[in-house]
Amino acid sequence: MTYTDILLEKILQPFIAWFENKGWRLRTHQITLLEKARQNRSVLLIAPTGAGKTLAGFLPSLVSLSHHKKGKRGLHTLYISPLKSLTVDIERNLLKPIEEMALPVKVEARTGDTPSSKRRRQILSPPDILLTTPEQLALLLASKEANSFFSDLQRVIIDEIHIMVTSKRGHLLALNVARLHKMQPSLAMVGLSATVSNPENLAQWLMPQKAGGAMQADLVIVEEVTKPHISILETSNRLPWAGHMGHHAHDDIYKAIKSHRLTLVFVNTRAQAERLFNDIWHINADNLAIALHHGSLDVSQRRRVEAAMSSGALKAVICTATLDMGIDWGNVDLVITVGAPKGASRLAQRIGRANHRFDEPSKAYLIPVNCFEVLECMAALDANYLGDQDTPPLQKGALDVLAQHVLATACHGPFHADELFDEVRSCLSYQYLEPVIFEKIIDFVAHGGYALKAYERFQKIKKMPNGRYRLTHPHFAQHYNLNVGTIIENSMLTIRLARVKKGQTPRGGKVLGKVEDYFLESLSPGDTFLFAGQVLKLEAIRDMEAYVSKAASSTPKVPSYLGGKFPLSTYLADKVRVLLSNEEEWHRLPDQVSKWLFLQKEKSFLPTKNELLIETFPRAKKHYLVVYPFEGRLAHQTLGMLLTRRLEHMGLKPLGFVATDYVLAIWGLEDMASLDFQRLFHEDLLGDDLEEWLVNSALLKRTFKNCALISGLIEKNHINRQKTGRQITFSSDLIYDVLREHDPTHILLKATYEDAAEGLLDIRRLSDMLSRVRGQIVHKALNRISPLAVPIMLEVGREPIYGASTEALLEEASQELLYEATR
Amino acid sequence: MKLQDKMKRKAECLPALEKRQENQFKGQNGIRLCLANHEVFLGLSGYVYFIEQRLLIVSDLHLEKASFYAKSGQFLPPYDSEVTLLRLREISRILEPENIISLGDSFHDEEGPLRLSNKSRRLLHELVGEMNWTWISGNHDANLPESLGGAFMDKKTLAPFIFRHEPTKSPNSFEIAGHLHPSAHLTIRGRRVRKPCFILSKTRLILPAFGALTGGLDVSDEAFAPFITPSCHALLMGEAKLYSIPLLDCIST
Repeated sequence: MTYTDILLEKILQPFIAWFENKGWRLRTHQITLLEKARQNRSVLLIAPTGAGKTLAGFLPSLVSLSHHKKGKRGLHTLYISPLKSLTVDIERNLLKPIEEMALPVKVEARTGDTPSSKRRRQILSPPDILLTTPEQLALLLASKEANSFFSDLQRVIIDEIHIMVTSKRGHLLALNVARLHKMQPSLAMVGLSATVSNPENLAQWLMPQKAGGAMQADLVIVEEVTKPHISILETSNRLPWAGHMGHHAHDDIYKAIKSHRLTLVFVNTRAQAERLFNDIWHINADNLAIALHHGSLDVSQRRRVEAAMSSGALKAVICTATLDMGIDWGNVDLVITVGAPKGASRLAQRIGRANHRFDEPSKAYLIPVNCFEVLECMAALDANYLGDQDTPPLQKGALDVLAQHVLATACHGPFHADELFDEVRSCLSYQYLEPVIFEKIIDFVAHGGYALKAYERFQKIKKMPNGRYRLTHPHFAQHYNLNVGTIIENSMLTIRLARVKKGQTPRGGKVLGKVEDYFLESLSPGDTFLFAGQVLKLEAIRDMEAYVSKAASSTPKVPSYLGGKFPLSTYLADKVRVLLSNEEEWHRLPDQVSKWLFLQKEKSFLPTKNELLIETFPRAKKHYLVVYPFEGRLAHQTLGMLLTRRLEHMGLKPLGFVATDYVLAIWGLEDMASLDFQRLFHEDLLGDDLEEWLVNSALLKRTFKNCALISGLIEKNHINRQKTGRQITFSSDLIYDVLREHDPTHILLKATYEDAAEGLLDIRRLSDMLSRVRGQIVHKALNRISPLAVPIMLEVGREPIYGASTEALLEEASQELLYEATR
Repeated sequence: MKLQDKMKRKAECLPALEKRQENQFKGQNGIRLCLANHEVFLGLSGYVYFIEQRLLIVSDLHLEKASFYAKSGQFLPPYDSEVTLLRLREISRILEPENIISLGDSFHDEEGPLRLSNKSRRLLHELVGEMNWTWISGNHDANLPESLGGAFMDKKTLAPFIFRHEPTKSPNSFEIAGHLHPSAHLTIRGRRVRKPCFILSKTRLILPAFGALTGGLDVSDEAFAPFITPSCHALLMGEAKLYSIPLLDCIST
């Protein structure tokens, strides 16, 4: 008899009975994980959505706890997920089998919402399984009770690990996982992940690395058994050449919703979600239960929608990425994505939402909203079938996160710098950290780490005679608790539906959600906009709250607010270029799109995969330069910034530019047809020009602000919190300027530059592109606009225009008035 | 805004602004204008200079602001006092003023003077020795130690002007004040531009903060409401010049 058989017979008996009762059976990978658990091996489980991944992760803990002796015991299993809502969902899903099998297992969640009385109780009497987030784990480890709390810990399950590791949250988690490994050397790790391009990397991430040879968790990969049915929704209406909203497809979307049980409609931005929701309700003749879900809405409202979904009360939900991650909604039988998914992995993830049953194929419609997106959707579709993946690579651990972790370590208790250094270097992300950099981080935490040693008398952590560092005052631990984490939100304003009385300032009212303040600041009182599915009128902004009332009109004045735009992934961009150059593939495209491409070929040119097409043409007294790199909006904005600078140096007076995911258009008063384009697009564009532009760019200042907040240089939440986000922005810019001038080698500037180099993939993408197209630039001097250029020309006027310097804008504002006033 | 309104607003503009002739004084960029029949120069780096009286006005130096935060564990770069004082010394070397009024909040807190580095202390001592120095008290620094040198006052009258820290609603004389750290933003063709600024009206001039680490408060904040009239102008501090913009344009965009 094999071990598996014994398991099946004995220990697993109640579980098998429970499974059978549900009409299910244990899957192979679930059994594999049970065996791995018996051998105390760490595992990375890669499985498509719906394969029972989460249960596979928990099953060994449930089995082991079910025949555990009763009595006082500590925390057995720690589960970490990127989303608070996911922990709530998992708790619900775990409680079910535990109750039905009457297992003696206590499961609890601990999130930012957990009341403090319950938190205290959890410390004194831990549950068997704790469900939490990376930030809460950091807080737990920074507490004085960490050692006793984790003294019985056996297993750590990290869900959606592929999403977490690529961000600063992942760095924070990595550092804390290293701490857990040190506390419990025999700890078994379980990583749960969707399909990724480089699973070995993730498997290493889970384990403490040692000097000689990489340590790696065992890989368990579950292949997808059923391919999803994905198609591009054929529309009877004309597909627009440009645009983002997909108006042409509303009737088709409504029909699809009507003929399915529960439909998830994914869009890429919150504005799109609001618009689509509004428009669909206009044609909702049958009064179908259609709800809205996005990250700006108030939490309670989102929870209500989620609850209504799982209880089967809804027919459709229009949502953004907030519903992207592995929440098990059960009954979804159709996923529609409006707008291109921007990445093949993202598409796979979303489609996994449909039919959360492993062995039935999921069904999905893609709805491209303009001609370029048809190409992108087609490329994504091919990729999903091919099983190609485009997850971003792991990054070097960020230094600001490390600074936060050093302070957290001191909050827990005195530490030895050398020991901490070894522990940090055991993380895959930090394995190449240099000792001198680590020393600088320690100094930074202790007294700011300035060349001028002005603050040693105020130091936060201090080296004691025994060589260990300790916190100098307990209130620094309180500050740490208030500022833990790596998610720096744009400064957000709460939106309240106010009770408005004539002649009185509005007050009170229901909270509808939160919106970035830069959007609200662009509005004047009286302006109307779409939010939470309603047309709202801005009444007043006061103390970080915006008061609104319901507007009488049904068409908002201000069409949209930004929020959550994804750049096109490199991988898909590549596929789109191939599709574009391969005429034999065009028959698969909708008629209007292939006609558009043939027309382009006739009037201008279609580049091959490695060529870069540039068109110049005059239009309405201006001269345009249109470039087709397909590298994503971010990269194009950077390119536009650099090219206009260069054109300015050449005396060509460019007036501005606009960028989309596919195309960049620059315009000016002079004809640019006779330029030396090989020279203009030379790779040295990314040399001095870039540096000069970057150090003064808002981008780097924003990056610095994030580093300053995460590292604890500036505290977002101070005991007497009266700082608004705007004031922080301003002073962090001043700090950046002073630091660059007087302490150019300061560690926080290093952290900022590293962040920019690592995080702003657009720059790396740009440099790859420039080297790819060297000697392959094709220029067409046209006497009128080309078909391929039409979409971007329609964007002009809709997108903010870049290029003109701040000074020129100020000059314009003061000149314009003078001119108008004096003529 | 309609052109008509703009015309009207233009007509209401200060005579002083109409008559401005130069935007340089002794090689410094700024705006030269007449305030209540006195020739003054508003410098790009945020000071006011009374040319005939050889009187320099600065406000809200907030010296030792960084070290104030350092006490509570936020280690802002400890270079702010030095940067601020060096900037002041540079201006004083060029303009050679005989008098100076610091309009309050000269130190971020009353213990600030004790925390000055030796270098900053020397710099300040030199400056105080070179000019007739008047410290107007602010809300951050009501009781500065006399050892700093110079005169200490709550407000100072030099007819027809009154100099005080916080602006008042209806001053009897032309008021020159600080305290609010005004900054203004404009949205031009979808881009936001935000700069510290002076606020100039027929009866009052509010100075921007001069200190190196002092942030600004947007003029649309309620705190400014009592001091804004239709004819108010914001003088925004650009890279090489001051830009004069009707203040209401900075509030409605």
